[in-house]
Amino acid sequence: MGARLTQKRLEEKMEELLKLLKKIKPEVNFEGNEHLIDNEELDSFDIVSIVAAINEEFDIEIGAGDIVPENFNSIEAIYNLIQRLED
Amino acid sequence: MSINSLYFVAFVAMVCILYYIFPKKAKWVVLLIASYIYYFLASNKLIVFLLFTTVSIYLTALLLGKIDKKAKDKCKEIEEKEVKKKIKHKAKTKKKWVVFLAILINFGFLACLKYFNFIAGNLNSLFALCHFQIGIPFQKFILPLGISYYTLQAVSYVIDVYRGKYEPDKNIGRVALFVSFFPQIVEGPIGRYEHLATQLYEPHKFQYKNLKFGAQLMLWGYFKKMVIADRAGLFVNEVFAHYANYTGVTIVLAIILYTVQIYAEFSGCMDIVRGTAQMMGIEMTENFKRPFFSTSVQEFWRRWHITLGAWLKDYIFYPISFSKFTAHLTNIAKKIFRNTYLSKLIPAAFALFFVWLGNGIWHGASWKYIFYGLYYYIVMMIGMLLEPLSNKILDLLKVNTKAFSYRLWQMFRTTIIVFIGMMIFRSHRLLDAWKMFCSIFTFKGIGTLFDGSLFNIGCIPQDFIILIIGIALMFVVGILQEKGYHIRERIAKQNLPFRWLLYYGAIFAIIIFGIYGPGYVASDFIYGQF
Amino acid sequence: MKKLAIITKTILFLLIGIILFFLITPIFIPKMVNEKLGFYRAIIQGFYAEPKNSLDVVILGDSSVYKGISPIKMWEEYGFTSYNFASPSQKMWDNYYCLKEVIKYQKPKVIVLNIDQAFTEEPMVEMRQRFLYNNMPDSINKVKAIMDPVQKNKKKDIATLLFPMIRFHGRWSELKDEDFLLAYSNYYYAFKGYQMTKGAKPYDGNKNYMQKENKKNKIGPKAKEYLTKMIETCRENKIQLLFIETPAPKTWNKTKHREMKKWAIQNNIPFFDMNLVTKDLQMDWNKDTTDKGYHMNILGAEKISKCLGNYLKSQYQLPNHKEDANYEQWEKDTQEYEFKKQELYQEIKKKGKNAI
Repeated sequence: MGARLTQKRLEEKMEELLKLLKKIKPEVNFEGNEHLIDNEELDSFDIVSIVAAINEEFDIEIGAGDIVPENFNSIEAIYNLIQRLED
Repeated sequence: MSINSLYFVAFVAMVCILYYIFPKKAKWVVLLIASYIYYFLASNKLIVFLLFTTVSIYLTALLLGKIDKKAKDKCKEIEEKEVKKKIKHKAKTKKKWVVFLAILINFGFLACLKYFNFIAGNLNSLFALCHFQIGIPFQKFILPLGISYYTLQAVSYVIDVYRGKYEPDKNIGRVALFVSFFPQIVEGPIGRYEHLATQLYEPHKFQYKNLKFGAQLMLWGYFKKMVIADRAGLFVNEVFAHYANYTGVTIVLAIILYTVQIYAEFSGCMDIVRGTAQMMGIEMTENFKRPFFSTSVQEFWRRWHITLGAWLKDYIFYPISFSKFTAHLTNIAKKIFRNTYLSKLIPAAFALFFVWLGNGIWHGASWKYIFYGLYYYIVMMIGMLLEPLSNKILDLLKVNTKAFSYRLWQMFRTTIIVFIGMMIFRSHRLLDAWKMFCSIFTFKGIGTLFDGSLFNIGCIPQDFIILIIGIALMFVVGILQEKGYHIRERIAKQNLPFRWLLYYGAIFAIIIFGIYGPGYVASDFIYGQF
Repeated sequence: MKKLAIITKTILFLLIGIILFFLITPIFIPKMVNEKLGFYRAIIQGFYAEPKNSLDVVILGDSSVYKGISPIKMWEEYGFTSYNFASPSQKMWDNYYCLKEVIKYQKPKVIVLNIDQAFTEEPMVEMRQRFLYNNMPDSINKVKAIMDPVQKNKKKDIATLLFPMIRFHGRWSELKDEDFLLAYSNYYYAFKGYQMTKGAKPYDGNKNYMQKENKKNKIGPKAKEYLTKMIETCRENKIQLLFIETPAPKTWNKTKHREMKKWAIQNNIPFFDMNLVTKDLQMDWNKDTTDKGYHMNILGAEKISKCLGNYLKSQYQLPNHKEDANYEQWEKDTQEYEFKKQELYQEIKKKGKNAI
């Protein structure tokens, strides 16, 4: 029962993140995309907007040190970053 | 030992042989010793600056690691979350001060040596304006070789350790090698510890392919530098030195040729540097990716001097973007402009200003370079401001922005902007750049294209033919690379006679058409025949 | 790939590259075989184009030699063969290395050395050394000569002298047919190292220049060192050495004569100073010099050659090859010489007395 609840919460969170990203960059297809940075689909301005939005939404503090391609190449990576910083 | 001298080639050959002869564990030591010999030969006593930077960042990183460890150990003993947070916070503040001090010292040296006279000169004018009777005397500093490059590289190491990207290196020799690696110390590329350092320490087994490909890359670099860049330089130097004597077409040609020159020279040097490293199995970051195929200025700077742009992005743009002040600014902007495009633009514009200021100042100590940086800033800001508007217009006119012709137009537009930037970059003072720019529009100069006077400005017709062939060659290579061809792989698949013909062709093109040596004037021999 | 194959391939590649480099070099060296650039290449290479062991006399020296002595004239008069191995301001050390080259290709009975450069210790600058060394085929002698510390060549100069491509590669844009045609064969010079010179500018200085003294004129240690080396080399090769000085009213004087004479006697070498016999030579200082007394024109050179030829013929048992069929070429060369000479004389006649 507890595990299912957590699972649900996780999915909600993921949805929230996707919504947030879509709002900032509607023309990019985030789902299943694993090369957001490498393929230059997100540029540094987008990163700044995304980070600002995430910081506000999830009440965490992503710093300049966290801005590496590996953390932003896919929505899963961004999600993992948020998880790490929430702990 | 300049990079385009036979000494350098001989030096590289020696280092290469030693590198592969020495046992695995000592290979990186060979590189370190070679780097220090190279640096010492080039700058003698000034090596103390390099040593100081190396020791300072090494110790700083260790100290940062220690502070972290202490905090962690303390946290282990304590249960309460609040106290833990406090300890962590305290450690972070301490780290901040340490890293700040290290950056201050290292940039302090750079500032003192490179910018002292510039700052003093401006202060003096300011004092004079305020009728103060103070004059700061100018100093004659000799810049240590590559200080602008290795300082950035060194600082990136301490910041990354501070950010917790990787553990501090306990071996000072390895830090020293990372900062001083001889091919790159003069002109970059500005390497990152996580990418470069491991490669430098790892022993690389001898691979014929590495040696071959590295040598080929060097050859191509020398061709670009000695045949194209230095030849274009003959024309460019003359026109920029006496620009008042020239008009319209000649000036335009000089600006175009200067752009060709600096690209061929800089990217050529990078090819030599990367080729040298590749011969020892070390893959260095690319500094140029066919920048003239860019469709926007932003893209241009992602493909031109890539490592500088990346450095500025990681260590200026992001920190400023995520600073509390910017967050504050964003909130204010949101209040004023609501959730419009402008409110998003303002924080970016704020952070970008420092990026381009940094870019300008880094290039040199004068207002010209500062303006050069800000020129790109202004162009980008205008572009971003007008983006919604231009998008609307394009929509209205049903312009297909994916069409090749449209991309061609974008490339053309970008190139023109770059040309103007290069003109500012090359001119002696800002005022000269402005005067030159104005004289482009004196159309009376169009006749110079046809009356042969163009050929009296350092380059004879044959030189222009070589230039045209050289530029065409760079263009073709660029297109092939854009299409994803690995040219050296392709060449490797050809038969031996063809390959060797190609190599000899390149070598002798450099020997014959390269600009080097004391030169020859027939009249030298005609005088005094007794 | 196997190591051996890689090493062989690399060495082969480098070897072919080096060969190619030396193959293209002569194309780029200026072809000094005409009035405009001077005949320096013709003079030096002409020596190497002569048949082996065909010369009875070789004359070493500077411009006084190649403008003042005509081997063809001596052939016409006395029937022995000779050649001027000379270049501008050729110093004593240059002469020494030239001598080394001479004995590699010829077995002359007499080496004649014009000694006016014995009074200078300063080497030529890199550019002027080229008149000689750019036109000399590559050899150990040449490398030694260029690297000899006496030349005071800097590392850069040595590199550009040994590898002239460094200086001349820029000529790619002005290469002409002759640069390719004359690149690989030694230029045959029918005038045997003599550069026929026209123009007459009278020497209007002191006719009694042999009474003048200049205490500063001394034979320096470097000149002596190389003169001694030449004496030894000649002795080893059983060649007679003769010092001469052609008439040079502008540069020669009593002091120089005395100094040279003294040193020559000490070393047991004959010294024939033609400045002492200008009256017998019937030198006409209004007509015979091309540049106010520094160098001879064709008129002066023929007088000097006749006198020197006579001296050589009488002092050394030099053969007369006039009847020898092996020396037919010399007769042909003489015809060419006479033809050119007549041309010059015609010019003189047309333009009058001072126009020669």
